Amino acid sequence: MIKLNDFNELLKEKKERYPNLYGWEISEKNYRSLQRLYQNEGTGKLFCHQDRLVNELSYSLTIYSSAPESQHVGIATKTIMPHLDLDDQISETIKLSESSQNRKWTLPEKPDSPWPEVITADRRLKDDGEKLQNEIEERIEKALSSYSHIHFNSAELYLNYYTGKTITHTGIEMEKDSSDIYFEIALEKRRDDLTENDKEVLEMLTSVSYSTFDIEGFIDSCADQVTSLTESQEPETSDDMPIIIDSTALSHILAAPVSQLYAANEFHKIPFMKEGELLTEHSDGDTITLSLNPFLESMAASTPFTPEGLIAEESVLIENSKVIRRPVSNRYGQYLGMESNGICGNILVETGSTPYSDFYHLSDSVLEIISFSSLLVDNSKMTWSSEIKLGKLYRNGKFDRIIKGGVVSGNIRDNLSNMRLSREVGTENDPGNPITGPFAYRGPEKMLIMKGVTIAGK
Amino acid sequence: MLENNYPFPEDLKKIRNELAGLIGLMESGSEGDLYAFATLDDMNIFDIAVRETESINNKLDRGIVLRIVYQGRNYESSTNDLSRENLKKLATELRERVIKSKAPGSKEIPPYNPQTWQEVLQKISDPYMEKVIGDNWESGYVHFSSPYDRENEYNFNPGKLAEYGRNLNSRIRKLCGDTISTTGCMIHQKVKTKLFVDRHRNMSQALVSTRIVPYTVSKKGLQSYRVIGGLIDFTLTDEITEDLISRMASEPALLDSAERLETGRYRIITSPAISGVIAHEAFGHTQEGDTCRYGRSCAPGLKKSNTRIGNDQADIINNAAVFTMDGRPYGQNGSHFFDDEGELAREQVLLDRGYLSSPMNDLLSSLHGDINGKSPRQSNGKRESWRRPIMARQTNTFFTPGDKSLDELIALMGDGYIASLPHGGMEDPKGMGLTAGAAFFEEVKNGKRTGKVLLGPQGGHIELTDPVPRILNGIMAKSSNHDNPYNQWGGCGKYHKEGVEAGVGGPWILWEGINCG
Repeated sequence: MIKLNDFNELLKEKKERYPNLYGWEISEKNYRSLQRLYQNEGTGKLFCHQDRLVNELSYSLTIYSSAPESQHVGIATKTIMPHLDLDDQISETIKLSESSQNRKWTLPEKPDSPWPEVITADRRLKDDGEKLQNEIEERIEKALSSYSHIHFNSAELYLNYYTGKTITHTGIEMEKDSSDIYFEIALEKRRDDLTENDKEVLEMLTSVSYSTFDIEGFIDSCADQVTSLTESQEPETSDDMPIIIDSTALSHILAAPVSQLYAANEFHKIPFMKEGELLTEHSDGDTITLSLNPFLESMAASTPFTPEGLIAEESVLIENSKVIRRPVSNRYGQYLGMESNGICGNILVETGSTPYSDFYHLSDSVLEIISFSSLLVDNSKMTWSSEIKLGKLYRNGKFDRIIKGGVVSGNIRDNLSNMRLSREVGTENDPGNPITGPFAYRGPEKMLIMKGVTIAGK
Repeated sequence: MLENNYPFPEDLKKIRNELAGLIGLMESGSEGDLYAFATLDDMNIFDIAVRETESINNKLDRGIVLRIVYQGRNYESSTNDLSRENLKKLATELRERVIKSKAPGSKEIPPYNPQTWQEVLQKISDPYMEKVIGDNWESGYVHFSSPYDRENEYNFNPGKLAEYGRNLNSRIRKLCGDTISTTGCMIHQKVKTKLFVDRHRNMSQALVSTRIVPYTVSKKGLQSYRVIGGLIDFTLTDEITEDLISRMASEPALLDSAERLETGRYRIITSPAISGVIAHEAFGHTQEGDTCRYGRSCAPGLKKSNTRIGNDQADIINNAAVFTMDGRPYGQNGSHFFDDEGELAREQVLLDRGYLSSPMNDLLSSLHGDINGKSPRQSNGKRESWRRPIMARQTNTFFTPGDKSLDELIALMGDGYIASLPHGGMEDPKGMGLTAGAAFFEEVKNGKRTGKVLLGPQGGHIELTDPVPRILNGIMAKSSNHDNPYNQWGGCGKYHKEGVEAGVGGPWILWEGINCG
């Protein structure tokens, strides 16, 4: 085990010997995961075929190196192994950093104010993990047993707890606990010969805390989906079919324009949007008002600080579909001559005024996408596409048939130029992974898109 | 492959010797009921990014999984604290957890009897693997390695790798002129060492792999890239030819002026990479042993009824023992010598002239079976990392070759499109739907390329989609290959997560008609 403060002192000593040592960040991550995978052995009960316990304690060091008169900064990040000599590893990381070249910038100083109070984890997942794991199993089995028409095939349950700590050379100390419960289940219609089913429902539920982990409501909504698994047809090919999407798809589609607001995009010369720019040239229907808020309790992207160590900040970014503000990091703010800020966090979108039950009547034909096979959103091109895993076609406001197959794609700018947002609220909470990071959304539960959708079907 | 091996790490030799004792502790007196093993993963990864900014990451990851198989269940404990005290504690606690576990499942699953080296030797056919095992198993330790040239100054040298990335980036940028917004190059080099120990065998493998991804971003923000990778060291750069660079440099302008495809059904020629994605999605995922045994795949039912779901040319193989491909002396990132449960690599036929074979089984799937009963264990037990559970996963999945050249396929096609660069894929194992993405299409008219490039109907990539039987019955012709066909560097997610490495490849394939949108 490494004591971060001792490691920090070692680096300070190193700096006296290496004047090129411009700055550093040392991080510790503590991770515990309880994992169970289940299958149905014919009894309808959860047969746990994999039972895992994971414990991890790991360290990393980021070094910034720059000769006093140089206009360049080298950066390198290296995993630090506790069983190897620390001084050697520091020297290796310094040497690594000298192989990269970046325009110089001033690393952030310790903020004057304390970090805001934000609840980012449920401590019970750490202290009572196994007890909660067993409780959740009982609740799942009880919920499943109340539906005679569904057959469960497989399920997975993970209870994760992370503690992360980072210290920088300027004395910034960031410490944050994160937790999440992940549950997924695959269901199909119960019948004598299950091989006759050609459709399944695969859904996931994630939650930061045990108290918001509504497993009963989740299984209820899955059961509803199973009920709708009847004979299906491929969709008709169309260039302008109105579609309804839910908050899972909507949140990821809206994440594309959000990604283009970051100042880093402008510096990297990939597509970006500036203040004053419209999401869409022409607007009919509702507009988008979107903000980032890092302070919401038990939401996956809540945090008191940005990755650089700035105090987290909430802000409206898009108002009535016009960009009014952008997240600007310390580094890219200096590169671009812009004032930096700590804007980060969960995506919040203002709801519309239309109940989504009205959506089915706003066009002769409307296709509601219940689930996508795998929604791919291209943040640069602002396009999206997926096969339709399950959909419902409505004609003249009435349910017509189940749709499956075919590919639906959209152009986000066109989509946002003519759409309606539901007044009902939906939430998405995804802890993400080390590459993608956490993602959370609260906003309209559904969106009716009237323009910019193509379907490749029959 | 016997020379130029990557050696087993010195600082892991001690733990290698100690693991046998841990196995003994976990099985102690219960060898008839319990099967225990340990796998240790050690990774050293360099990631270099050269673009408007530069960064160098050196990630080291070392962790152990202790496993006990009992009554058809896997019990595991994973950690990166490899101290002797901690491992002994975890092994003891794991055994206690297993002994205390509640009622068994409803099916009787007999205890697993692990294979000896003599039994293992009968199953494999790769000459290198046979020789390494034959020469070493009696000494107690067997070590496999992918090719590694210790004299190559670029290998695991971040300064040289960054210099290479800058030079390549600069060459592409110069050729692109003012047709681009920006360019970049990402270089990834790693060695994955895995150690497997059970009561009979103590073996290890070192897999050295390299991936180079140069990319361009056009003035309109359209990205084009190449993924050049393999189970090889920096000798890989032989693949980066002047032809490849000049084709990349021409794409920004082509993409910015590209028309949009009208949705519809077209004759398509897919490149090895996209052919591989189709194989991977069609009867790759659908033939994963756990998906089959859960009842989540249509494959067991189709096999049971002997339903044919492809024509005579629909042959799909999964093979981790791909160590040469299409004349290249190396394999792909989906290759390994043994999987994460110690099962040695060998070829498996998944689809034989349109008829399904038995699935790709990890250990548990081979013990449980599906509606067709039990089928052999294969080298497909893989996990994303020691932190994640084991699942039945693909390795390298590909169609078998045909007998045509690419030019002959183009002439045969008449009118249609060539899809060269992949852009993802997805399957529905229950419903038999699949999609495979292409970054763009190249138009062919009257058997000749017109030079025209098309994007998707909304300006993005193009999805090829159809029910699997319709696609597999529409194979018109395939190109020929030297030995194993080319497999592209790839990755695979299962149920939207659990990312593992998986090569995708095959010949160029001409398809009668695929729905494109």
